[in-house]
Amino acid sequence: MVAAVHGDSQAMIQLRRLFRFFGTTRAVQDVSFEVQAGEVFGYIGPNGAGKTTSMRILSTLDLPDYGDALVDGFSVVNDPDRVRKRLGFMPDNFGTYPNMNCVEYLDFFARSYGIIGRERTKALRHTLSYTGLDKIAEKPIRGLSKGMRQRLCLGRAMIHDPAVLILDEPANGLDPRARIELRHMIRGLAADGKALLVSSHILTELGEMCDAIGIIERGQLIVSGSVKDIQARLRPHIDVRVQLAERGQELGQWLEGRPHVSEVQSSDRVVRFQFASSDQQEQSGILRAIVLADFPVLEYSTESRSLEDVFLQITTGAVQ
Amino acid sequence: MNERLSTVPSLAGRGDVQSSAFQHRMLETPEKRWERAWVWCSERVNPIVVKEVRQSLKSRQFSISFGLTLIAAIGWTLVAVSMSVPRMYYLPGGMVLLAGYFCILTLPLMVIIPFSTFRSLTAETDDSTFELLSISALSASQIVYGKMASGCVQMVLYLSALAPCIVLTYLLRGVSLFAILLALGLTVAFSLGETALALLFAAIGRTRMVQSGISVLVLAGLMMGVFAWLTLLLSEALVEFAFLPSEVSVVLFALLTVFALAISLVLNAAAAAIDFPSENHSTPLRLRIVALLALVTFWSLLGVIATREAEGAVILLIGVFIALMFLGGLITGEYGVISPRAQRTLPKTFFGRVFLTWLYPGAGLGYIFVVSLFGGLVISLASVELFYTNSLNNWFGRDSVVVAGYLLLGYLAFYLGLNRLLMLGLPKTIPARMLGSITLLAVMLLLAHLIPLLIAFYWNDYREFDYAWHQAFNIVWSVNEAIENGPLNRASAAFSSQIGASMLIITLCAIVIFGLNLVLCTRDVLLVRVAEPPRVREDKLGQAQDRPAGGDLWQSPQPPVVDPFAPEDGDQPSVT
Repeated sequence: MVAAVHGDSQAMIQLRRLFRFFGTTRAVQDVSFEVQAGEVFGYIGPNGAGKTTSMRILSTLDLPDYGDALVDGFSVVNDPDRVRKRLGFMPDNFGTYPNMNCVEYLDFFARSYGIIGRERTKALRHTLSYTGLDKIAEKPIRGLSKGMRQRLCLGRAMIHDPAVLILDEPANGLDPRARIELRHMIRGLAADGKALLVSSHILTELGEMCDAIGIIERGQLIVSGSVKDIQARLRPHIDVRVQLAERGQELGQWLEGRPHVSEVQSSDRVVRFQFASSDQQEQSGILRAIVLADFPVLEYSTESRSLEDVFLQITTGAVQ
Repeated sequence: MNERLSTVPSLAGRGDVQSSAFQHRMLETPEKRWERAWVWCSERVNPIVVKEVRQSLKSRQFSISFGLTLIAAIGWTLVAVSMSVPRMYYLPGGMVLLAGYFCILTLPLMVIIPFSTFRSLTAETDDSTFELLSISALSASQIVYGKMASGCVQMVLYLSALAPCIVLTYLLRGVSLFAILLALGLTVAFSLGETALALLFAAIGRTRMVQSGISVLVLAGLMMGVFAWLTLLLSEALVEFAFLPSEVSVVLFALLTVFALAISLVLNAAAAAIDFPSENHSTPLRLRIVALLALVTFWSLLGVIATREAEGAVILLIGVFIALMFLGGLITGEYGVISPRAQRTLPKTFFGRVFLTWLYPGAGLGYIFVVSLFGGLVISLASVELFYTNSLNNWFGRDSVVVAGYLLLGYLAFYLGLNRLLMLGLPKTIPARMLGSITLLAVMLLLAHLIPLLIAFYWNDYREFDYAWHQAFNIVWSVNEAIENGPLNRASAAFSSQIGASMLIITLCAIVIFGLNLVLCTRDVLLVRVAEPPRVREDKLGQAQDRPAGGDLWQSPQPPVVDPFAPEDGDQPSVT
């Protein structure tokens, strides 16, 4: 609806030293990050970490005590009306109107965003088809399942084609198939140039769909950046596992003292070690050297860390 | 722009949404011209009205109440007509029938509609839909006025349902058309007023617990309102309406204008209560207060000049004083700051800053605004009294407007100013600050009246005593004394020195307190307009370009097609 093109370097979402207190509880403290157009940013944290509070501030539902947040360059504090035109928010808990069906619900929100005439008709048609609600367009909302309601809320958030989408636990209540479809859809929206901020507890899914993540705990952003960068930052070495037909002990001794190699553990057929270099040439070099030394290698694998491992390593699980 | 949506698969996993053969009546262009006109009109109506009407038409509550009203009207018609046969052939029987219809009509108009409008706004919070409304492009005013308008639509439905019955009463004679229209008009006006107030209460109570308490109060108030109005209407008013003099039309017109402005003020206050905090709510509200007071003053002065009776002016002064004391109590508790957004609209010129800065948020600015407003009223009324001094009759005595106005202005400046200074000492973030401020003012007024009275009683051995200067802070006694035996009253000067001393004390106290407050709000007064951020300016300039006139939002160029099932390279979906 409203174009987001105003400068190549301008991030679509910017949090600048955001603070929010509830009494003595510091819900959000000094949180800053940016999300570029076409990027999916995963917002991760335990319950009560401050994810929803930050998202509510970004969606102009709450005010920060200090700091500011910008959406498409507009301050959520000083220009909430402009922010709202550019933003679609799907809250964790959302309401629906009784005595209304799906198409009437979407029609109301389309009108609320000032979409009228043929534009509204097209917006409704596309959104209903896009969310798969066209077959149940006339069905009363109160009769919808949790998953269908999620779709309806997503449809509501994107009815005005916003440049920025904020999705708070969007996969909550969806069946596995719908989750996969949602993942593809989020990637599709990002490819369409939209900036997406997504929070979820299902870390495996976030790992697959996000370009970058931010981990928040007790109101503080502990780490943010691309998933690979964070993984590399947290563990500068890679774990290598070599399976051999024989001569495992011998390979263990052979590896001792070689550059970048440490923590060698060997048995007859399996050798594990850590390789402290991110240079891919050097990583391939050690494999080539093992093969050239005539060790009977059956399998050579590096163990990467999942987002869950990263999350568990970074967070302490403390609540406030 | 949403053509781009077709580039990604639907959530249902069917890919191209363009191929969907999905049909729906709401998505089709009607063939008939009147249907197209109807759609065109509905799209320009406030979306809240459309939603509320859709919901109401499907709601059980509306069906039951509307059905019962119709059944009651038909039932009463049958009963009344059968009971008055054969008298109705030669005696007028319209009044009895009309009284019954009013009993039936006032219940939905004065209870059901205001309460359902109240519930409609509170239910947005209960059903967690208010947040969704807040983040849409609808403004708070659109939400509140939309709710009000949907209440009006219901009123029209009820009135049109009862219209044939009311026409019948006129045909049965015994009641004039003017009386019917006046009674109906006043009932509708009361209903509108109640609905606006109900919306204000719904907007103020945002938590469920508060809402529950308020809903009981609102319902009780509505029931009392309908009972009072029906009692008045059926006991005297309906009969007397037929004998009202023709001048009453001017009074009715005056009341109508004041009423319309008052409703606008109440609705804007409700909108301010649900709006985003950084928005400048003060200026539109204070402008409406100025307009309302100016209108009331205009009609009052017109009445005084036309009737040559000045009592009305004194009563108006006292009424406005009480209203502004209450309003000022709320304003002086306000924790309003001029947000950067509001600073963008601050007046630029010298005169603008002198006269308009007081309309901006802040307890200090609000205090000056309230005192200046009342000062303006006192000057206007006093000028008229002094100009027409020989031709005005005043039951309260000559110059009573000047004396009472002067004294009341002093009290307003003193008590509100003191309240503001005391509120400055409290933490800025205490909850229910405005409620605390009005409570503090009430306690202060109570003590200021009671303590001198008790001391004087003690000094006089608990016997009756006359007014003296030490009762200067007693508003009621001092004003009464000033009107009856004030220093300007040339007929009697028995206690002139005492009330003169009181007026001197109040004047000095008011000047000191007003001056202190004026100095303390210097920071707000000296704020200058800030420039709009470049991005906002850019947006304002580019808004017209976003949607070219006659353009089609959905006809944007087709972007590249994304295949999410194609092999992925890293985290990025491939683009074909």
